[in-house]
Amino acid sequence: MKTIKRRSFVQGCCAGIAALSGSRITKMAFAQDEQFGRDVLINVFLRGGMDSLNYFIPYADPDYHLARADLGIGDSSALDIDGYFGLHPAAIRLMELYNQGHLAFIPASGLPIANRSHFQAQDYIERGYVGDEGKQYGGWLARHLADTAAGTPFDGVSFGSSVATSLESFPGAIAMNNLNGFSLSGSSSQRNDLRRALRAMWNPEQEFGVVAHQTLDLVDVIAANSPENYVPVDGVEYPRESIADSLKSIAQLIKLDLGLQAATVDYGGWDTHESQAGGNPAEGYFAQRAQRLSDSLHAFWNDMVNYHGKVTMVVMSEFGRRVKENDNRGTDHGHGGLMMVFSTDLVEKKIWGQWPGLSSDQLFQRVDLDVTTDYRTVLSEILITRLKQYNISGIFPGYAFDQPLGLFGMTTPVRNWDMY
Amino acid sequence: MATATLSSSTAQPTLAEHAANRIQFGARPGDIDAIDAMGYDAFVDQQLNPDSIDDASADQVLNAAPNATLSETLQQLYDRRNISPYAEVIRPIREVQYNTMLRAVESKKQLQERMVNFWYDHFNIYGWDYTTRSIFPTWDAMVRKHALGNFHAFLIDTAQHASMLLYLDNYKSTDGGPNENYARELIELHTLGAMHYNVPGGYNDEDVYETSRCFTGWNFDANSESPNRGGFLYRHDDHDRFQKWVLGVNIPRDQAPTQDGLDVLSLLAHHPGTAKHIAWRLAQRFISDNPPASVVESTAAVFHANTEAPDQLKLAMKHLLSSDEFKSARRAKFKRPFDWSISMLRALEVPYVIHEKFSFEWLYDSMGQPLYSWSTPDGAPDVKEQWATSNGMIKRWRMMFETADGWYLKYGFGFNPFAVMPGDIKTAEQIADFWIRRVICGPVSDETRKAIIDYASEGRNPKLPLPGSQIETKAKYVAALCAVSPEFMMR
Repeated sequence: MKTIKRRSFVQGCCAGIAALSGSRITKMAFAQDEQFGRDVLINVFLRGGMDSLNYFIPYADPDYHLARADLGIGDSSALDIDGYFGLHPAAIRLMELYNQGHLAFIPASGLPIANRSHFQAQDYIERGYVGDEGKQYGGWLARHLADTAAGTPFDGVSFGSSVATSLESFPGAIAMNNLNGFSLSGSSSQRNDLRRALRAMWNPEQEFGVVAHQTLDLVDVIAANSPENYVPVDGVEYPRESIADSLKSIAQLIKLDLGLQAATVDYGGWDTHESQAGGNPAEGYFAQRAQRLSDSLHAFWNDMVNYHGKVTMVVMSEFGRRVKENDNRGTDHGHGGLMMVFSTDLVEKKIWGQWPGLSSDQLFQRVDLDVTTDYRTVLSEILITRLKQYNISGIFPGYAFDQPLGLFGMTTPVRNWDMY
Repeated sequence: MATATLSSSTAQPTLAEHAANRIQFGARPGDIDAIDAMGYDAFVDQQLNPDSIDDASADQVLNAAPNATLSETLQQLYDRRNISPYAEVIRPIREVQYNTMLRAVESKKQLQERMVNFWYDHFNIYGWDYTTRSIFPTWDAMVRKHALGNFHAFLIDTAQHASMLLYLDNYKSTDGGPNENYARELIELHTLGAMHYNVPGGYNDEDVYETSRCFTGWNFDANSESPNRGGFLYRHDDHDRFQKWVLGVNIPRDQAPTQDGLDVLSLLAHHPGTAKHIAWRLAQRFISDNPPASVVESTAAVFHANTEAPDQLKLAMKHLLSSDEFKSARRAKFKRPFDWSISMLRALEVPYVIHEKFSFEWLYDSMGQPLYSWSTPDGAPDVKEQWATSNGMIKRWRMMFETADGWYLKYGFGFNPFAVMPGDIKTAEQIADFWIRRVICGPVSDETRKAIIDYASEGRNPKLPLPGSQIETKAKYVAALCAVSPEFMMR
């Protein structure tokens, strides 16, 4: 079935693709490494430090309410999960996915060392190396794709204006805001001639010519599949929001079977130093943001219903925020945060990892939620079990992966990764 | 026809064309002749002395643009931070944005604008932050004042500006709770550079911690009743009065107000590592992504020897622009979104318009370099890897083709090819050569010229006149293709 679709794509793809060299077409035809059974990985990054404590809320903990006298969300609003944790009411749609066992919450996760600079914390996470020496390594996803990429235009895509650091140094990485903007414009009568002229001007053997031709290939592929007419699965409605546009584009790419292996999505606006809630702590700026995030993730996940088991999505931020609210109805940079993993192959419906607690002697440096799960622990288990990437020390230099959470059934101690 | 020099696979831009690409934001029609007539050295001297340049035509355009807040006092601007409607809160940064775009397109003081653009990245702040967006004209005026002046004086003014104090959190830094954000970026980005982190003769984390102690109490006046509101304010009660060690130098205890911080800024401004880092950044911007060590060293030497000179930066730039390394780096830089967009507007004489129903920024911002919006303190990158991406390509193509097709002409944004193309130009080859010469600053490859001719001729004989009905369409898209050609992407 999939092979036929790929073939029709290759044939249906106008002059641009046909003009590619034979070897490249062959590679493309075998793009999706189905024989390896690799999932498509979507990495959503919440830029700015998401206040996880008001998203995945320890609402029954008196220490939480002591620290969050104005911003705290109590049992009248929080959506109870297990009697201790509850979801922000604006994230109600994710409750459905959690109840189905498709969503893992991993609180108290993040970088293993304290770094409260957005700049460096994001850099460390995305390079997969905790320290400034990581600059020389490029991105962790780039290292993974270097092993698995098939040379299609869509091996690794960053949704945004430039390539995410996690994909940095992967030569096939592309950046696009969304599929809808990815077409030539101007007079429709001229577009084919202009496309031909651009191909002729740029030498595909030269540095920037590679990018220009890659872009034209994308334009051709996207034009042949008219994203404007995309219809999601019945009942799925994407919100009007940048993250929803990106996720919808990813859903389209996956359904078109063009060889997408990994995609990054940025969703910013989480640096809530002030006025994160209105008079009601469950309303206001943060609530609005949380709702857009949750509705978008929910829409994407349901739109992927026929691809469940072949898609894994990870949502993370560079750090969580200070346990104690500040004087401006906001929260400052903290340490431990929240990771969310979406998959139909999670072995258990539960809250993962160790909860360190919120009393002042349990806090990191007495102010922040501690990190009990290194973000690389989560990503490593996904790499091994879902992406068939066993070279963890190559992806995360200097990191010893010996304590999997078991999201996908990995056990401790780790002995033979090949069995997954 | 001069097609032999117009198209070639090896020819490079002339020195005058190079100057237009690098010292200016690209050439407007006629610029190359003017630079040639003046001579390269005289042109550089003129650009290094912007006050000597008659800029009346640009001033006329600037005066017609919304600019009322640019002459408001700091206190008037500061009071805007919480007024309503919201449009008045952000009017100051919007007007700086209009002013900056217009100057880049229209002003003859092009090197001045390039330097302003450079320093905005070097001392990056996020312009749209609360308070900063309202007092932004004062930041802009400060950068403009020092752009070709003295680095040490520049550094002090950035350190004491409310926008920097806010952006890097120094306003929260006290003896009880020092915040090292500013101290770290001051050393890592503004002065010594990461190239000197943990290396002999450089700095280490201890220097950062000690520096943050020196700046405790550096704040701005947030009292809305104060006559100095929005201005620099030193809070001695918040200052750590004990002795510190920075870069091996003792900062004694109980110094006079602000003296600890001023001592550090002076140490850093005079440090040879700072000279090298600034020279490297200038060379990366003006010469190549990985500039030759020779010109970095020699520019650093000029910078360092003139630390006290009021025109230190002018002298360093004069050296850099006169160097063989600069002169030979033709088309060695991939244009950033701002470079490309402004050079396109200049080459095609498309006006930057301010219109309530149209904004140039709608087309421009998604290229990834919206003004004043780089959120991290490192500033928008200067290397091709960031900008030579699929997104970069498609956004440039779209902006160009929509502009050529006249989508925004009703708002005054666009161009009419017949306004400049002589009536006797009728063949595909003539049209191509006319626009190649007019738009692209320097020769083009045989492939580029052929692609443009083939586009215009549609398979007909390129030496025969096109059907009259086609000339306009072909002319405007030929102009557009020139502006998205491989040659035009480089500077």
